[in-house]
Amino acid sequence: MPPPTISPPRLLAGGDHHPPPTSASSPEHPFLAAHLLLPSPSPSPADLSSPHLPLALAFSFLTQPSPLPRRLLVALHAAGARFPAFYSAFASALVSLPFPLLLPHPRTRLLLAASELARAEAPGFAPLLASLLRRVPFPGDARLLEVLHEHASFLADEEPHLLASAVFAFLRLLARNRLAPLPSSVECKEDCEECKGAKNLQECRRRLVSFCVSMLRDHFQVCALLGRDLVRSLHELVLVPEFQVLWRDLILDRAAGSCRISTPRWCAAVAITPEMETQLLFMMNNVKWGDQKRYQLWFARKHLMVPGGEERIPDIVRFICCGYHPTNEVMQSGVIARWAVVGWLLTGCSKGYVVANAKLALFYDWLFFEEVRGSVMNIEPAMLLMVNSVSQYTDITNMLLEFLFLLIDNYDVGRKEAIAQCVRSAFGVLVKKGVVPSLEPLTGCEKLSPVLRQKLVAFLSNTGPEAEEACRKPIDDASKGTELKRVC
Amino acid sequence: MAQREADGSVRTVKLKDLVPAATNTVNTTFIVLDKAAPTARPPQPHAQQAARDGEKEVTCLALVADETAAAHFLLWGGECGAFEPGDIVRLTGGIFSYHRGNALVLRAGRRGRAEKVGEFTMRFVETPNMSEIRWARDPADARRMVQEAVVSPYSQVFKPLR
Repeated sequence: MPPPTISPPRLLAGGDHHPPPTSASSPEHPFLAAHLLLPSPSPSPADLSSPHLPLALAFSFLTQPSPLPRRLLVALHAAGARFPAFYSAFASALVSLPFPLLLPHPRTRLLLAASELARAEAPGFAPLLASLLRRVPFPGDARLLEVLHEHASFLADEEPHLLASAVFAFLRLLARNRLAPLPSSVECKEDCEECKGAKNLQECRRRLVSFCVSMLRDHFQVCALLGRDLVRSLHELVLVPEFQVLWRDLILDRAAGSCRISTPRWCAAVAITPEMETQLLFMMNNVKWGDQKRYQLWFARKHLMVPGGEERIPDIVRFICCGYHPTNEVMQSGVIARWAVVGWLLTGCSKGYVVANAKLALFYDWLFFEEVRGSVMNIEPAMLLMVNSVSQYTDITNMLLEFLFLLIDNYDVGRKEAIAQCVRSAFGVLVKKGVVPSLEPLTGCEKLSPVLRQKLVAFLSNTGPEAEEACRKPIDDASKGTELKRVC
Repeated sequence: MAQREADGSVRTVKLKDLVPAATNTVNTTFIVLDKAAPTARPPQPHAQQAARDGEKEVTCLALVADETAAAHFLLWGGECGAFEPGDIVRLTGGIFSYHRGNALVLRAGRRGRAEKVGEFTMRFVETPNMSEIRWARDPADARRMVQEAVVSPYSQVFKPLR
């Protein structure tokens, strides 16, 4: 009789209609193949020098029942001490797993592996933690927060981008959830699930706030690497008492300085998941004009029409403006342009505050634009969206232009003139660099709200008291009929 | 069964090369564009066989495509809930044939297998639709089918989105 076959444990969820781990097209396959060659990695010299060790050890580490066998930890550090590239290979193996499909036990173990690598300050731990930050919120992410908190001082010195990314990821998480319903005030005698959930949420929020506040206080220089997106995020949280205090004590004097720093690309990608990034890039690199409808539907259903999905739109807009600058070759290849993707996203917002934050995200680089250091690619999508919508979707151009004037007047009243100057400079550079041949499509468009058009002309020329007067005119007309229509 | 090349690799086809045949030899990869509501199948002569195989009496028509063509794919039983629009699916050992008389559909069939291998990142065209073509016997070779006429350039069941 043949011996009973025990099927190896699984890393990923997947039913009958996913490739089995034994199939080469399963992401689990390389792990399983290594595991079959090296089923029980030990610190023996033969195992340590095996080329299969990183994947085999990762498989055992993620799947062995609790408690984690000690020999696996010993093997991990023995191999790491002996082969300089080992830790990185082990960490990249973990990063390569499709996180959304990980089963609960392997996911918990993945966090344990990340915290073990961080504790050992092992090469490769930073990309692993950075990849996990893009996954928040997920069950068990409290451990990630703890690991970052524990190693904050080390990270501030050695991995400042990681620490800054963590602050940004958690600030965005707080901002997206700030309007979630507060726990009900009705006294609940028993600990019902709802109350427990609300308490957990409160506790979770408290920990996130405490982490961000202490990082901003202790390591402001590191957080400042985020550039103006740090200020944008803190603005959104200004109603949270802890941030109010912080704002007064610390940020007020430094905001202007931080806003002069453009958002770095690594930061723009932190607040969206890798799947969102892949799909957005596919749309903007491969999908031709006219073919985008189905992709947009799939993207919306997967990422936007889920709890908390719509609140991601401002971060997606930031990613499109600052995180992806296509080459001329791509721009001329007939694929869907960034401005059209932004236009589609704006039409997908149903909540007023999300629309406002998405428009702020779109114009944010305009408010601080300096010709010498600003990138025209950051401000290009807003301009092209306004110009290309003007004939068929005038409401969108009206809405955007009206919002831009509201921002100039109200975003930072104390620096109003400086902001106006930056916006003027943005318009100027967009023409100078040939993004648009002239501003005539806006200033000379009959369909555009006359008040807005007048205001724009006056704003751009900015001379004489008449212009000043025009600038002060209220813009009621434009607010009418700004109901969004489909852009594309 | 999956058709293999001399070197043992599975031979794959693009959708535009599909030809109706009563053999389960189609290996291909496509993206699911749209899916109709599931419908219960009428009682069929092999009901007992189906019950033994754990098949549910449910089917669901889907529009699938690759970069060369589109086709109708008939999802069967558990497949109906397993695949969503936007999923990239690999079919091995599938059949492209007339189902219940006149509907020309691609399906996994009893011996074939459909697996989700990805999402989203695949280009496609919606015309020609191989299920909307009228086929006839090749006068030169009665075993072969050749295209006789295009019934509709696009699917008549799933209208293109523009």
